[in-house]
Amino acid sequence: MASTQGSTAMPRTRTRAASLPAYMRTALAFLPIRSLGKTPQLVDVVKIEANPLPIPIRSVTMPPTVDHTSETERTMLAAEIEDLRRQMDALSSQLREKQIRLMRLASYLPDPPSLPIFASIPTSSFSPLRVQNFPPEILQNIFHHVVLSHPSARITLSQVCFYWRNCALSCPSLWSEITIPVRPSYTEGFVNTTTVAFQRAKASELRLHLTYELSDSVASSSITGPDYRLLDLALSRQHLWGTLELDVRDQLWTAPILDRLVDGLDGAHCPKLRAIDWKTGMKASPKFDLLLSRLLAGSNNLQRLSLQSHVDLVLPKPIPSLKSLVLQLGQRPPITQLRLFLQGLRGLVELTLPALDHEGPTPASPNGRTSTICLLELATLTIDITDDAADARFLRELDLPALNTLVLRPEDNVTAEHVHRVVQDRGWLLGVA
Amino acid sequence: MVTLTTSDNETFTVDKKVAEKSVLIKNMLEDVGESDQAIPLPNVTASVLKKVLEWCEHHKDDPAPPENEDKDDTRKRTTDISEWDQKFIAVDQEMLFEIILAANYLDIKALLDVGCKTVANMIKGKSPEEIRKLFNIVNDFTPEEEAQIKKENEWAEDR
Repeated sequence: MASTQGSTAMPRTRTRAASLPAYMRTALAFLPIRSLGKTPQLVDVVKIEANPLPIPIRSVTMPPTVDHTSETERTMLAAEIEDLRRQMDALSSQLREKQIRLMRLASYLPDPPSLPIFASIPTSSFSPLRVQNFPPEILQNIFHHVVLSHPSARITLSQVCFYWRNCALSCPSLWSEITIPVRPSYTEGFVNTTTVAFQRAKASELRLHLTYELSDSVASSSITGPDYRLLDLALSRQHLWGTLELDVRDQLWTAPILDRLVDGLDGAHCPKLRAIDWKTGMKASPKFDLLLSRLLAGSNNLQRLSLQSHVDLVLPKPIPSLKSLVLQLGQRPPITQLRLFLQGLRGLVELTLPALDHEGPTPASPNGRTSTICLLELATLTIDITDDAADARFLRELDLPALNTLVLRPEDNVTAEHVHRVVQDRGWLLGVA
Repeated sequence: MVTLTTSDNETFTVDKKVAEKSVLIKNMLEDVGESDQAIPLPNVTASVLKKVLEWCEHHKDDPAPPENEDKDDTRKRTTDISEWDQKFIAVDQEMLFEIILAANYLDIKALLDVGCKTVANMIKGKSPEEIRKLFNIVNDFTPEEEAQIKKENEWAEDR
């Protein structure tokens, strides 16, 4: 019975195995036997007579009974291999066509009048390997490495050939780094280039840079007022902002631009915003305070905040997602403000503080003890020491059970004696600045 | 030890730790368990596998990359290539491309990165025409696409 089953099953198995592409035969060969769903008897037959494994020729010890047929078998194998190669070529061709179709659908490109290249590309496995034969994901990986150090190179990459252009245009993240210089006016060409970048970035997370640019264009400020087109475009996509570098100044000519920005962020909605890099110069301005406040109010998933310019430390709401805070303000932040600020950032893991302004009373809790700022997850604290006794008092206020690195940066001529005593009492480990 | 068979029927016997730098092979070994059977690698030739195994041998003690690494952060990492990897990857263009495809097929991310960074370094600072020459690429744009590209270039010059 078993042999009857085997004799009927064998030719079908062999035919199927021979007609499968090589990669599927490999996968079949490594399927656990139980997953084939065979009875034990049938499995034996399959193992002996219809092994689907592409057995390496050198490692096979042929039984003596097949010696006289080795020539025939070799011819059959060669024919089978040739047949498989033809199938692979046909499949590769189909795959390529489908990838192009997919890329076109993804990038909403119009169909070209004809497929100019892929019909003529030799797909034989014996043709010399060329970079155009790379699958799109590898080419896009290469593109990302190029754009990492040369952001403008994405234009060049999209102008090499049809395949590269499709690969570049169907990769939104390649276009998601966008710089808008803060200027009173822009040329039409620049507006078009930036608009196209926004379009090609599609719904990917944007890495936006708003950078102050003092150039000749300032002198030629238009009578009709600043050109808001790019700023408005960026604001209309605030739900896609992933990182924001804001490098602006409050000056006479930038005032209307800042107002536009503040208005655009009224009720801000930046759910993807993970990092803010804030550089607004040394001059304090209520506009910056309002701008930061609105940004923080609209960012529910912020993880990194770097404030390198003076701005009021006011949290519109707690941000438990924030992991890293770096303060390098132009003026010393008042410790009264800092206390409230830190209390809303319970998830901090890394904190860098500048020299602090210790004016103002130290608040006491109802039981008479000095209040505590509890940062349960803080692992690294870096702090400038300018007033030994006052800084030591501040450090005593901190409850940091997870702290493993404390970096002290004492100003010249500051001994930090009191601070070191606190460090010793708490058992904190000192790191190197 | 693990035995690997290439598309041109060469067999290689390597240390399991070395072979498992390939996620594909690692998964295969996990699926089949202990076995003396050779693992067929139908998409890799002997000359390429030899190079790939050389890389795996050198990097066998490297820590495994984090599984859920942010794609964006991965890209943000340095584009530098270590000195050993630079020497390793100093091969002709065809071999470089073969290594990249093999690394992709065998799922060896770090080697794929080395290959992609090397090609990226070859591209950096070049014009489209220079890139075409470098890789022997035919300019196959239609007149309509050429017109669009010309317009893009005019915009780019108009700062």
